[in-house]
Parts: sequence; structure tokens; C-alpha cells
Amino acid sequence: MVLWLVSAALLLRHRDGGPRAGAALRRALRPALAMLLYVVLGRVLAGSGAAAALAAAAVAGLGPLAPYAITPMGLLSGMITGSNVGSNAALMPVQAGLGQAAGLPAALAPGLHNFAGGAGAGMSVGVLALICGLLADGTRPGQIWRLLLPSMALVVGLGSLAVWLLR
Amino acid sequence: MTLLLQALPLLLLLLLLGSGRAGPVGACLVALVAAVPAALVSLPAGTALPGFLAMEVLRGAFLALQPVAVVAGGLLFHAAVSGDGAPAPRPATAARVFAVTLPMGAFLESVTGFAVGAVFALTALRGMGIGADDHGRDGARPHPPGSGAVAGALALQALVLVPWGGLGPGTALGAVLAGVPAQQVAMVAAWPNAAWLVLMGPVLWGLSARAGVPVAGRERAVQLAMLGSMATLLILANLTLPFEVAGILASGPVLVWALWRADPPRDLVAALGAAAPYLLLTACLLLARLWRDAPAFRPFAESRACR
Repeated sequence: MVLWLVSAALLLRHRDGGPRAGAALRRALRPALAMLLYVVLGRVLAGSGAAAALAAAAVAGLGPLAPYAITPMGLLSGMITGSNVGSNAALMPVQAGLGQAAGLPAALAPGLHNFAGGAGAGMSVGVLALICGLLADGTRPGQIWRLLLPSMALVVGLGSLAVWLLR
Repeated sequence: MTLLLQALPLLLLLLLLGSGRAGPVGACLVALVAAVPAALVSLPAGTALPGFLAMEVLRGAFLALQPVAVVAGGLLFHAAVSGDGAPAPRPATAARVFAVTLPMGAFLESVTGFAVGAVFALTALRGMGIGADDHGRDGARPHPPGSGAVAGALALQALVLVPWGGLGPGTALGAVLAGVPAQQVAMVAAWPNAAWLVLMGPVLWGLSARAGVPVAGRERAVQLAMLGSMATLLILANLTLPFEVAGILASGPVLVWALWRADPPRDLVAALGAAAPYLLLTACLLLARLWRDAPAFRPFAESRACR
């Protein structure tokens, strides 16, 4: 509400405030629809118990190493869904369930998934497509990903360290 | 077989998005169709599938309202404050490259989200000739091979505070889905994120050197101090203030410091005028959070429990 009120007040200063607002809202339509679908998907998986079953299977399969899967899964989820909203809506129920099943403190798995998913979203398929499109010089996402490998390794390393320290 | 059915929606989603065969909307629709049998085999005995699906669609639509409103609001704010022109072309220096990528990009990302910070950073880098498409014409310095990829990787350093980007709608939603207060989720995320910020220094310097702008020892020390300040501010802001403004408060002061070093303002009043909308938004958000028990429509348990 505050964000909308401040934005509206600032838009009123512009002669073309109306068209600017219209263009911004039109730009928001498609991401809004994607967000809605992501959240409904997350709710169906969480509410039915499917997410909890997947988390329990991960814990049973990986044993004591299961919590160390949270960060790489979060990073991957962010890189594929392309946003923190998408990453959290798609995998947060599974990750929170994994944390619960592994006996971690309540906020640890969600917090680490949020960190890694957010980091992954910044290096995601969608964002890289946007950057390569703006560059328009033939640069491929794979070239940029190779340069970002140290950054990805840091995310996984720090997330694993956090699991080790805070569990 | 049951486990495969339960995993299928996520596998399809990841496969379709990862392969580029579908966009977020199409991939999510396919995953939703696959989620119906997954729910059917997962629901406790006696729970009717149609009633469950109807309730979860309603609940999901309500939960999505907040992030949708924040994203749309962020775009409105961006439309209100963005100028018409691109940043003026300037020679590349290590201080300028640092200022436009990490603090400036992260600040814009914290306010508006949506990779706006990276887009701005890339535009500013190209204004300095990094990853620009002149390919060394007109006497300009020839670009090293892969200059576009290096510019892209540098621009993406703007997206190091995504959990707080656009005032953190993803963090708020994730907390609701996990059933944990959002402030706690943000606090846990802040610790490794702060360490990541500091350790990004050498990554940034390596990329800067590849772009033909090596970072000297003294400049590295100052940049490390700025990254350390941003990390400390991120932790402190999450500990003491609403998490929504933590990204702005972590990157804002460091941005002023970085810009002052890179391009000291000739006109302080004009510089303050340019910063005024951001200061106004931050002040209004902080003031709004002082209003406890503000009226709100929260029909579902998770939306009541996890603020």
C-alpha cells in the first residue's frame, strides 16, 4: 500500500504520469500471472502432503547429509525459476519439510533456501537471457555462467557452512 | 510409483524452464496439471480432491496478492523515478565499475526488484565502453575476447541482495509457505548472504581485470571496506528493523560512499534531489511499520501467523 501511494504521488509530478503508470502495470501482468500460478502450485503440493512426502524421501535417502542438499537445491531452484518468488513458491514447502524431518531449527532450512534461491535467481536462465538480449553481441548464457562459477561455489559453500554451524 | 507422481510436477517445471521449452506461465500450467494426480495420491483418505483443489486455488490466489502488489508497485515506482536518458558515457575506472555494479545495482534491485539493478549496471558499464558494441572502432581500445560475457557477469553482481529485492515479496511468501515468521527467515538468510558479499570482492576484481580495468591494492582495500560495511548493515538492519527495508538500508549508505569516491557531485543540492524519492519511500515504509495492528484482511491462518 505504502509503495503504491508513494509511487502514485511521484507519478503525479510527471505530465505523462498516466501513460507511465499504464505501461508499468501492463509490464507487470505476465509476471503477476506467473506468480499466481507458482503460488497455487506450491500450495497444492504443500497442502496435499506431496511436498512433505518428497522431503521425507530425501531425508531417508541422504541420511545425515540431507540438510546439506538444501543450499544446492535452493540455488538450482532459483536458477531455473528466475525469481525469489518462483523459487520459494516451487520448493519452499519441500525444503521446509526437509528441515523439519532432519530436525533442524524451524527457520534454518527456509532461511537457507531463501538465500540460495535468491542468489540463483540472480544468475537464472531468465535473467541471463535478458542480459544476453541487451548485449546483443552473440554472447551466450553459458559464457556468463562460466564466469559466475566461483560465485555459485561460494553460495553452496557458505550455505553448507551455515548448516554445519547452525544445525 | 507414488514418489514419482509426487515429484513429477517439480521435475516437469524444472525440465521445461531449464530447457527453455516453455516460459514461466506455460511451465507452471503443465506442472499444475501434473500436480492433480500428485495431490490425489498424497491426500489423507477421505479428503475430496475437488474441494481441496478449490480451496488451495483460493488460498494461493490470496497469498499471491501481496507479491503481485509489491512487484507492480516496484514497477510503478521505477516508472515514476526513471529518467529518459541513459547514463552519460564516462571512462572506466575501478571505482566507477564497482560503484555501478554492486552498491548502485543492489540499491536499485532492493527498491524495485525485477533485475532492474542488473539492467542499469549493464547500461552504465557499456557507457564506460565495457561490453559496448563499438568493438574498438574510432580509435577506442579494442575489447578483450568475451568482453560481452564479462560485462554481463559484472552487471549480475547487482543481484546479490535478491531476498530483499523489491522489498522482499519472495521472502514474505516463502515464510508463509514454510510457516515461519518472515523476519526470522530473512535473518537466517542474512548471515550467509553477508559473508557472500564480502567474499565477492575477489570475484569482482577478477571480472574487472578481465574487462581491462585492473583493481590496484589500495582500491581493493577500500572496496573490501565497502563490502564489509554493506554486509554489516545487512545484518544490523535485519536484526533491528523490518526486513523489507534491509536491502535499501544496507546498500544505500555504501552507494553514497561509492558514488562520492567515483564521481564527487558538483552540485550537492541536485544530488540530494535525485536521492529524494528513495529517501521518501524508505521513510514512509519505516513509518508505516510503526503502525501496529493496522487493519488488514487475512482470511487464512498462514497469512495471519507469519508477518
